Amino acid sequence: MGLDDCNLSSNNCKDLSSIIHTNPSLKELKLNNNELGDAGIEYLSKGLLTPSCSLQKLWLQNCNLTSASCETLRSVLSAQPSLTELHVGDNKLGTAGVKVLCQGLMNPNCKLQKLQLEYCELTADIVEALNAALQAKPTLKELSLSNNTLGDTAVKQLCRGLVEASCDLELLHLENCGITSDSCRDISAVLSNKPSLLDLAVGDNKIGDAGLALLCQGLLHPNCKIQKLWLWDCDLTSASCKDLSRVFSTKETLLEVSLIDNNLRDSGMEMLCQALKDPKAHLQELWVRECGLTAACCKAVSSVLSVNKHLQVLHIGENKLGNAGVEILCEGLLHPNCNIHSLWLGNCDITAACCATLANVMVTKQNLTELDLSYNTLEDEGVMKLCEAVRNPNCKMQQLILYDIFWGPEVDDELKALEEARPDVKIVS
Amino acid sequence: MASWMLCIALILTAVAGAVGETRYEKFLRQHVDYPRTLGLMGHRYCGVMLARRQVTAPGRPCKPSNTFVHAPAEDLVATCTRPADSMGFHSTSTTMDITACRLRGGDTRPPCNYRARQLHHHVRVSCLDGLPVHLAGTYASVNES
Repeated sequence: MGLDDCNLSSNNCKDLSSIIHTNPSLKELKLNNNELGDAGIEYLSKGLLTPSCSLQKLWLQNCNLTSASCETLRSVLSAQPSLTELHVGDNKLGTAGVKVLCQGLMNPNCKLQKLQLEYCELTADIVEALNAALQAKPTLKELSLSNNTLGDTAVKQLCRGLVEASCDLELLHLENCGITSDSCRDISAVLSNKPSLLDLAVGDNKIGDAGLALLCQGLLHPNCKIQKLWLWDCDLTSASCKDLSRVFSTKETLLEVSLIDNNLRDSGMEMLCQALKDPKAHLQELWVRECGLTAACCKAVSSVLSVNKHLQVLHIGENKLGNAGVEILCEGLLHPNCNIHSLWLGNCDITAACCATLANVMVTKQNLTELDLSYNTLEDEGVMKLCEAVRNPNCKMQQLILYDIFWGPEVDDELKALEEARPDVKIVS
Repeated sequence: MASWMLCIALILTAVAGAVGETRYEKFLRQHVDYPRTLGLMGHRYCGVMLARRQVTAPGRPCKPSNTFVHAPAEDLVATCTRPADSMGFHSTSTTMDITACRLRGGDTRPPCNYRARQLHHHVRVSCLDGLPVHLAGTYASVNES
């Protein structure tokens, strides 16, 4: 049941409580962005604590909860073995509150698998309680602590706890947690000791090239089976690309990597491209938006596209590729080996002059289903060329994304006409 | 039970508003929030507002960036009467309160998580028939250093 942002308040919780009570088959309840408050949770718990309740997933993000709600949440965790997911981020629960929550986790009845505590105003002091809970909870698969000022000391402690814990952790999110290169040896240890770990997110932490080098040691370890790696806005430069290249060309499990907003520059990108041509590079999704790239690296990227059959999603927007760069990219896109189905070129300094080539790709590349050209000054001329391509039955696009592009009323009319001519193609603006 | 009806009504109104709206109405929906919606601080402002205004929605990719202007719509309409620059954009005579939302992490699949920056910027718009229909960017006042 999805009730996000429905203007619900604590008063509605009495009704919600009886709904939960009378619907034992209810498995998921989403109440994000409603001013429920601590009082609301109190009412809600009556329903949540009924023995017949078999709720599995509960979302209470941004519900104006404080530490006072944690006692209630503790009792729910202790009483409901059916609950496998709890999302309570964006509430001022604080360290004291979450310590109480952790007591609930310790209860043998609790079979929680996914715990989301982003933006909960947690501090370093929470780690001791978290580690104790992790030791006691082998069922835990996903832990998100992003956007809490934990700091290196706490993160190192947490990592040591994770290595010792018997839980087969699959997802660990520590974005914007005040991590520096100091923590990276310990995070690396988690990578090399937990073959269960598939998803690591440490974006928005100033780990720098030094930190990345340490992380790569863990990433390259044979025990590491990482699939998704989020390293956006980590203060990385082209110097990181040597180590990253080694990971790309050896870690066959690696499927998705985000390097957004790191100053990799053309030289860094070229190194990554070399690695992506290796047969062992099985990467499917690459995010290099806003990485200081120019047209100069497009030849290398194009070269990848002409040999790499695994890459399906490429985000390369917010780089000054220009028409020249994109034209070169399109050459690679058209190669029969290229299996890119989703391409993001937002804010790349593309103008109308490039649209003929892009239109050609749209009608030739049958597997290209998603194309983003937002924030580019395509003008009426350019957008009309794209529309012409959409009309072509050979165009198999599902989504053409054109956010924040200015066009005149003639284009408006054409877009309306396209809604009827090609209802299968969603043009998003 | 009245709250349920309200919730359904809100959803229906929002959907109806998005279909068959004019370019100007769309501009207001995506870019104008005046007075600034209360009770939403920091990053929450962006996530909640973009969802409420249907800029982000299930099935739609997360918009990488979006700016909300906290000034009366009339002020932005008045901007269209000011002389256009070489690219055809009109700039506001004064700075305005704005919230610049930027997608975090980059994942374009909902749920969309944003960073919010509160700024005082001049706002640049494109106009059609005397009405703003496109936000062409914002910039700090040249007097500020």
